[in-house]
Amino acid sequence: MTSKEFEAEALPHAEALYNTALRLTHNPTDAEDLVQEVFYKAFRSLDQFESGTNAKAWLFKILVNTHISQYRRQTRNPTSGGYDDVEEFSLYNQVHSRAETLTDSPASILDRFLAEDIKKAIDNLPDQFRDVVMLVDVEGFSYKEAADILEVPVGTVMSRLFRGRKILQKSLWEYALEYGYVKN
Amino acid sequence: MLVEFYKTYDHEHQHGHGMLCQEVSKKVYAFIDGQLDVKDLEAIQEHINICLPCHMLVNFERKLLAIIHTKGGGTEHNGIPQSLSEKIKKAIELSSKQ
Repeated sequence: MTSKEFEAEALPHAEALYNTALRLTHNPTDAEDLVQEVFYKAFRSLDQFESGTNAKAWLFKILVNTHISQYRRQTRNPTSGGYDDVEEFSLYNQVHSRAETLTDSPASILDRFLAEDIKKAIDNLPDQFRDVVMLVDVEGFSYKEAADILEVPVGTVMSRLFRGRKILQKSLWEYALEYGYVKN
Repeated sequence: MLVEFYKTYDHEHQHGHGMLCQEVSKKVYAFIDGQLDVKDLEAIQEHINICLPCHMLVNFERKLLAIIHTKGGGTEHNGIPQSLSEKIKKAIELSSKQ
């Protein structure tokens, strides 16, 4: 694959890469630098990219690995632990238990969340949970693709995703109370 | 009144092919993410067809994931910032030089 051909395939993913980089770095300048580095590395190692395979997944793998090595997150953030209590949390149960009228369908509260609420909740996730939530829930990668990108077993993706979604729900419930999306 | 009914509804009741509500709530994400085997998939489908609380739960979780997908994605810039476009251009140029 020539550089020009790859450019046509890679550029449409720049926005998704930047969005994920923003969530990972919490900082627009760092996010831009990270994406710049992803493109640099991708074009440098173009011979390793197999034509016809998933360019988006390949770019995201470079993004995740670059971010991990830059921030040395694996040493700062050993696996799981400390979130056992969150597994039982259910936003649905919280909302449902407060429903006063039938027109107050639990799902309707979800429309009240703004994009910035969702992004803030993602930002507040611990690194390893944020990675899988971004890849699977935001970017739409399959469990298998996310496992390849993160170089972990599929079972690890599933358990991190489960916990990540629970932690996210807990944050959203706090925002719902704080911003008056539900009656306190 | 209906709401009261849902709240007092026996949520441990068994419906359809022996799947319990508790089991549905445990497997709801695997169900939505399409990760269940045919047997479990059919059991949940059958269950939520006749169990309103579980039906509501599945709808809620599905909508939650849809909202995370749409509102968690995209940038405020509606596209990438001009400064990033330039950085990417530079990165591609640099990568072709030894």
